[in-house]
Amino acid sequence: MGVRHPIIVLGSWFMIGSLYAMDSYICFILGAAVVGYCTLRGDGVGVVKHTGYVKQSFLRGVGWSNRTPLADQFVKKMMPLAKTRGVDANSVFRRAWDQFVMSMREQDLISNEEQCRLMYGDAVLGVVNQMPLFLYAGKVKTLIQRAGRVAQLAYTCGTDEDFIASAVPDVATEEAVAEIMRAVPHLLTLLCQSHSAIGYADRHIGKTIAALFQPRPDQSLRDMVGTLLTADGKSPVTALRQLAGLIARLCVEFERDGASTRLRGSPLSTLAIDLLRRAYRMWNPAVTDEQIDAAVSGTIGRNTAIVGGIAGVGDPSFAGPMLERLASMAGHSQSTSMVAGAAGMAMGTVVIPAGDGSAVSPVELNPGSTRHGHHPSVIAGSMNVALRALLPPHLHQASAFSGIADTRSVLGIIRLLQEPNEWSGRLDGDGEARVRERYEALRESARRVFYLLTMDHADGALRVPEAERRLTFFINSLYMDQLPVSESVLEMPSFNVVTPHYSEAVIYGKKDFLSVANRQGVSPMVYLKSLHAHEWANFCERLGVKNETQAWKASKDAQGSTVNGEIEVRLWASHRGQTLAKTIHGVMEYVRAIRLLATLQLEIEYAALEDARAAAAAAAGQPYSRASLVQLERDAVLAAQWFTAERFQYLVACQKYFDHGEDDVRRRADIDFLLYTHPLLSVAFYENSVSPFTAKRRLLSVLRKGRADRYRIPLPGNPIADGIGECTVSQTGCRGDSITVAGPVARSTTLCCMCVCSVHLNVFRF
Amino acid sequence: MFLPPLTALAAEGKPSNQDNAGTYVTARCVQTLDMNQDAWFEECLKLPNALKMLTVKPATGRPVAVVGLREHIFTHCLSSSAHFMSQQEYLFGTMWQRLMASPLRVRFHYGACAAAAGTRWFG
Repeated sequence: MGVRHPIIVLGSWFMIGSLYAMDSYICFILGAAVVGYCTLRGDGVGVVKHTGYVKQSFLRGVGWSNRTPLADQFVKKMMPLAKTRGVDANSVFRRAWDQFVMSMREQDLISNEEQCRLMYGDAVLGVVNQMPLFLYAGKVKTLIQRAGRVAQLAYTCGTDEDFIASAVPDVATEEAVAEIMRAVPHLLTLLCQSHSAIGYADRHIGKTIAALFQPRPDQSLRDMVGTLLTADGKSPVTALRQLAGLIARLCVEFERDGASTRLRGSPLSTLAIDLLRRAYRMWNPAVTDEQIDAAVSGTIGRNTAIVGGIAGVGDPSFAGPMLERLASMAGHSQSTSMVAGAAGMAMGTVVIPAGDGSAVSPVELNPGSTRHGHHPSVIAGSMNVALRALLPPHLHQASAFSGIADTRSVLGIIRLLQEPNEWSGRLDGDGEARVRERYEALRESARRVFYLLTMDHADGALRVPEAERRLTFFINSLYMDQLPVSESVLEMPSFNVVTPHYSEAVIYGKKDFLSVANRQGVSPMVYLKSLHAHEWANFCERLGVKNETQAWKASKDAQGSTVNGEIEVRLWASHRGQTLAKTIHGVMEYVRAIRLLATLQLEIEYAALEDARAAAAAAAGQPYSRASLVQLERDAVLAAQWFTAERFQYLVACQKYFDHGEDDVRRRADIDFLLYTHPLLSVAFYENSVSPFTAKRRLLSVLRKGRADRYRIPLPGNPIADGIGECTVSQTGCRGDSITVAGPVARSTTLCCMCVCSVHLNVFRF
Repeated sequence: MFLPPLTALAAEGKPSNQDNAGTYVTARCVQTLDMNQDAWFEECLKLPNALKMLTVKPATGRPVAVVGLREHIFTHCLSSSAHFMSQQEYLFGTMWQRLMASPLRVRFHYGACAAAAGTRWFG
């Protein structure tokens, strides 16, 4: 079909003709859409479309032209000084990012789990995390599979080169494993420590754990994976001897405490059996698998074989009655007793390893007070999680695993370490600050280990769309070229926000709004709860309640701090409607943001200053004692607080604030509540009252901040109900002296001229 | 000449209320927000960058007096028409305003954005 074909000619003329026939406005719209779209794309609006881009932005950036990772991009836009000073971008960005995630948690947009996944988190056991947790998702699972293969190699013909080639997929895996390997021994020790309150006494357990895991900051991946297999450079036989010895000891210890049948079939029992099996095979290479199975399952008479195995490989101090008891236990129900043995791991003296994990100092904590309740299962559950990560994969498929839901093991750790209970109370409530501090760190560590082990997707997907929108919008805007570079937040000009308010809702009330059902029996609360179901679930989680009735009555949140349930529910609902509380809460984030940026900036500047001073002193040959990092940080925080208060103010012009004092007391109380909770918020309003001095009606312009009126400026006129004179324009100068008041007369409206006189009069009369 | 008595209703409540707040504005830059608007922590982090637009005179053209920010309609989840309206607002705030500013040079601002001497508005 050639270009002169009648259909093509007609078609072209039809389009041109119809365009001509169309209204010019339509042409304009079409043209504008095309041009606008091109501008939009050029500016990079909407590059980050969904949370799948979040991972990408952290790793390599999402900009059109620049491929900078998110942390570097943040530093480039907000804090160029950090780059010139050579400060690590992650160490700056992580604090802003964590605050961001925390602010979403405070607004119940994300759950505790999502919060933990998204955050960098505090430094765990002295090591700073390089990435948010969700970027490690799935790494550990892959590694466990790899470790399984490597374990096979290591026993047969593996060399170091093979090992490294197959066991180091990427840096993230290495870091994830490093974290688990660092944390697990500490967690095990903590569990033993907590169990010491029950009255076990064995000071070797902590040393055994420490010897098994040997956490070192400089440990490479091979070392870590190898730790379990080779026990820090020793032969596999030695490692297994130690482990088998550990398990055997546990069995015996637990037997003393009475077996718990609830633990039947836990992964730990499988681990114990597997270890015994391996130990036995190593001790006696000639034995066949069938013989071992028979020995382990107790079908060979009285388990002499297995006892012999342990006697051969284990600790010499194990000889004697312990082994006999172990043999008798293994004889009747090996599964139960092994698992019971796992729970028996919770024993012994309190052992608190020092920060570097090497020194072990025993501290007795209230020995022999109570016998255990339900917690051995919790302990075993949490150990399951910890140990499962270190298991070869074929054990995962073992039937013993299927009976244990992940949640239970997980709940073991989390419940034990996260929630305050009678036991953690004993742990951290004995007044020793060092113990408590360590306990907190381990709690955080346990949470992270849990997520490292359970997460398997890395896209940062969130359940609440609003949270996703905020996340993607923030990342997108950081990559836009239009965002000017701010050299320093300290150069920011002073900044005010103004919002007018008449009589709109401030905070939704319970009896007058939220719980009032309409004709269909649906109250706004029911509506909000169904509309924001996830956010309500997050709210309940934060408050530690199950339903609305409990939430209204809550007096403590899940963390144990005191809250007022009614206020919390009302604020939750108000933040999902068009209320003043929502606006004020949002704008007050400026305070947090400016303070954080100023703190970060000042820390860098103070450090630079300190460097310069030290250099000057060194050049002059004088001694100079540097201020510590902690001291510099404290100074920066203080200075940032002053800076924020100086540069920022939020003004709400409440038209009816004074009237509410008479006709709507509750609304005024709500505004007052917001005033108390936000120190940098002030309310401007007119006060139309009777002067106590002259007994005449007067009009004042008032600025109220916190609980007190900062300014009370008398205005001219004898006001009527709504009458606020045109003379309000003259207040610009009304800061307490009558001279500047004359300024606005330049406007020279009749009324104003008149007012000026009365301003003077008022000032003197007041 | 008749002069109204001092008790006369000389101004409307709403503008004079906002004027009253203007009295207490002490900053160089002011942002005006309506009662039903919101802000978020991560957006607040970008405040110093946004203020750069007001304080730094661009290399070409006149200094900026007003910076407009796009609005996010948070009620978009309520119904399909609300969703449509929020999409429309999104296009208006991003695409349309860019077009008005850049090739057409007829950008308007909405809200209480009066520029006073020494004070830059930001709304």
